[in-house]
Amino acid sequence: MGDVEPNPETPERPAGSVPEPASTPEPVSAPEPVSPAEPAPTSGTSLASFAGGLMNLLGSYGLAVGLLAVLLVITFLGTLEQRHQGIYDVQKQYFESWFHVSRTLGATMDKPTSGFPIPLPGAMPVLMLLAMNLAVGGIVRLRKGSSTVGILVTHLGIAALLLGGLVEFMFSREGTMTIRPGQSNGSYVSYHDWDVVVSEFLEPKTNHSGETTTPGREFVIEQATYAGLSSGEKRRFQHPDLPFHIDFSGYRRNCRPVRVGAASGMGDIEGWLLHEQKPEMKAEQNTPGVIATLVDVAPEGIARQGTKHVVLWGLTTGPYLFEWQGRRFGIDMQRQRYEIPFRIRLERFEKVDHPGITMAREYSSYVQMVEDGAVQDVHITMNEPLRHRGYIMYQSSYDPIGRDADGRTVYATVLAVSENPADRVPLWACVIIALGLLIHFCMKLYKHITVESRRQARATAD
Amino acid sequence: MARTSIRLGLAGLLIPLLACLAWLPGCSDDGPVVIEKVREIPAVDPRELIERTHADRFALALPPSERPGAEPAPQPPGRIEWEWLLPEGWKENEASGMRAVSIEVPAAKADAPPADVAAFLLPLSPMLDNVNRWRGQLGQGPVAEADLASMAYDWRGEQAILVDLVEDTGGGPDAPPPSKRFIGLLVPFQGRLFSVKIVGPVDVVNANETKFHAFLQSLAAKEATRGVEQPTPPTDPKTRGLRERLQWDTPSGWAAERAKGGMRVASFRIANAPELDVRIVALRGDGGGLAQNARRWAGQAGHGPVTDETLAKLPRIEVLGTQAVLCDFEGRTTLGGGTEEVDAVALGLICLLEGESLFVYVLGAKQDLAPHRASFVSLCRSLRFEE
Repeated sequence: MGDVEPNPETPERPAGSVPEPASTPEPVSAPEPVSPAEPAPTSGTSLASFAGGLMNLLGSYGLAVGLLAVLLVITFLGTLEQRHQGIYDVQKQYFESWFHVSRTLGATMDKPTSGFPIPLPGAMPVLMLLAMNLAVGGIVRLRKGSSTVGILVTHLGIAALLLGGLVEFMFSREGTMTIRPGQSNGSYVSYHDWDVVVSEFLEPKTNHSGETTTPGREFVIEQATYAGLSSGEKRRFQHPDLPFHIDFSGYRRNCRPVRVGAASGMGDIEGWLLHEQKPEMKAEQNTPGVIATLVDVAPEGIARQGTKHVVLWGLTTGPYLFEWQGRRFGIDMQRQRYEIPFRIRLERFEKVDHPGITMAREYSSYVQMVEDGAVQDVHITMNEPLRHRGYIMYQSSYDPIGRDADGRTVYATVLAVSENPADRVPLWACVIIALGLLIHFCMKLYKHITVESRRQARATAD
Repeated sequence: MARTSIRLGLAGLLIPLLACLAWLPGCSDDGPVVIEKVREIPAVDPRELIERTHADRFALALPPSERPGAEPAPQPPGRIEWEWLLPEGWKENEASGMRAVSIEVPAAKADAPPADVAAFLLPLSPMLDNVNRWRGQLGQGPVAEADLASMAYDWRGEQAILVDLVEDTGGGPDAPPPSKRFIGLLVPFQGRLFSVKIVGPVDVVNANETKFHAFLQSLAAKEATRGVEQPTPPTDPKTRGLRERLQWDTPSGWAAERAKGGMRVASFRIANAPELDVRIVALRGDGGGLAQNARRWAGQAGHGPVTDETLAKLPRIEVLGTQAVLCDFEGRTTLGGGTEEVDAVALGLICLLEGESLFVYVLGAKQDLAPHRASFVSLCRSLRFEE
């Protein structure tokens, strides 16, 4: 790793530093070292000196080693923490955070927070610094020449890998899509995020087929805007087209409605309370709840309706319906729904059991992907997902929904949907890294063979 | 010079970037939030827009038998299938014979004997008989029916009994330490008695106690095999009369729920102390009487020995036309399966009537329960029979 770009301000190598032999094997995964004896700029301001020091630090081997060691500790403690919490929560605390105090070391199963407190940076800032370290030391300051092509390519591959991770972190989504046989679906729902949806139902209409339907629109309050509310905290939501404000309070990440009887004096809403439950190890099994208070915002001259309290919970069988100033509304908590730019229609679901028992050996879905009028047949199995436009659909599960005329069980298919713009980046990054290493090793081998053959030729001539 | 400019430029980019990244998580705005996402919804069939009661909307949170419009299920099949969440490290075995569930709980050391978890659905029989049978297996003497009140346990919303026993090895100075621990659940289920137990070496059961409770709460009959909810067997005519006629004034901030059957007459939840379980229990006879109950409650609160003199000095209040004894014991003990001792309080009322007895009892951490002493006494004083 001695191929540092020549510094125009330090034309002469300082005394005591030894030029690295060209044939020295070069590690490729760590960034470029900076000579500790590099003299201060002969010209420039103190700011330039500071900037130079910062760049030296950012591109140093020491920083790379330190950051990798911290990552090792975070990963180790994050893995231990999974005794007490599900992987989703551990990822949020240890990897997708800026700072975290781990208490898993020395904690017992009964008291998961009783361990020794260890303050840690989250993996996110550590990886950011590592990316900067790689960019400065391994790409910007790397001497560009024929002998370092392989290293440069490898470093670019690692940078692509990190960038892919960032894109995935920022823009990826995961959820599930359920489709019944003969039906199609153009959206999927989140595993973990829940929205509160206020629906306004407009006047019913009859279409040309004679079917009467009720059109409407939905005002969506996304989980990110209310999930951070502590138990005693309130937050108000409003929209110019809504005749009421909505105050949220008593948010609980995992809870169950409990009937306590009307006017119990326990702060119940018509005899119901939300009873907090311990978070589930599998975060997708949590069912949140929140108390919504509708507050009138009637303009002058219109009679005010006062306030209305509603208990919202994730697994209700339908929305809470009400009228407000002559308009019809419903309010409900639903899993966050994401539209996709094409539809999937389930033609046939196949389940093959192990002999003699009803345990599935394998199951798969024969679907049609419909996009802009074009139809494509696809067979989705557990190991062969459908990949299209950044969406990956895996065969995840199935739901028995009834029996057909022959008495056979009919299943709806359940697909796991992953939306990741950087889906293929890890693959291509690995290809780039492998190519870089191949170039580098081939060049070293060629150089070694050339030197050896010359040496042998000289020995023969002598 | 060019090099200096590059350094300055890079540092100039990096420093604000780092500053922004550090600032971002602190962003917050406590003002009203404007809803930004508005979308059209697919047209809805007006027949789907029906008013739903809370019980309708929250049907999935209710036991199937309490769900609105619940239809009687087919007659129970001979064998009910169960489903559960298997705790990590536990090994499921094939359930054969009378066992509905069979699980092996390995010890931490590979060569140490494991604990055994088993569940049975048995013909209905008195709980006391089963408790005393289990006690006998662990070398312990029998208990009275009144003692069952202290073993009350909430199993998936059902009133159950949880028995926790450690082998009695004699208790003398030369006696070996207990080697076996037993935790068992008993609950009436569809006209039968459902029992679940974990039994094995003390250290293995201790290490898996939390998992066992989680396992118990996850254990449920599969919908397809769930039978008809059997009517609660009629209680003793005497206690049934007491149960039906008993009235009280629920203290402010408390919520009362009248029990449907069993020994418990009513349960109370307290708004700011949901872990407290205040209960009224009715029993035949004297239910063990004053001394036995008071000493057991004192023991549960970690209070020292209760002498006859102390018993004689316990305050009396008039309840249901008789002088009932009010108990208030403080001590230090572990609560709720925890391992750390806390300051605890046991509040109780012992009301001995003619041929029957009534108990009001709550055990909890002092910091939770102490503020509700006055409410507890007022509840006791308000007990009366319906005119």
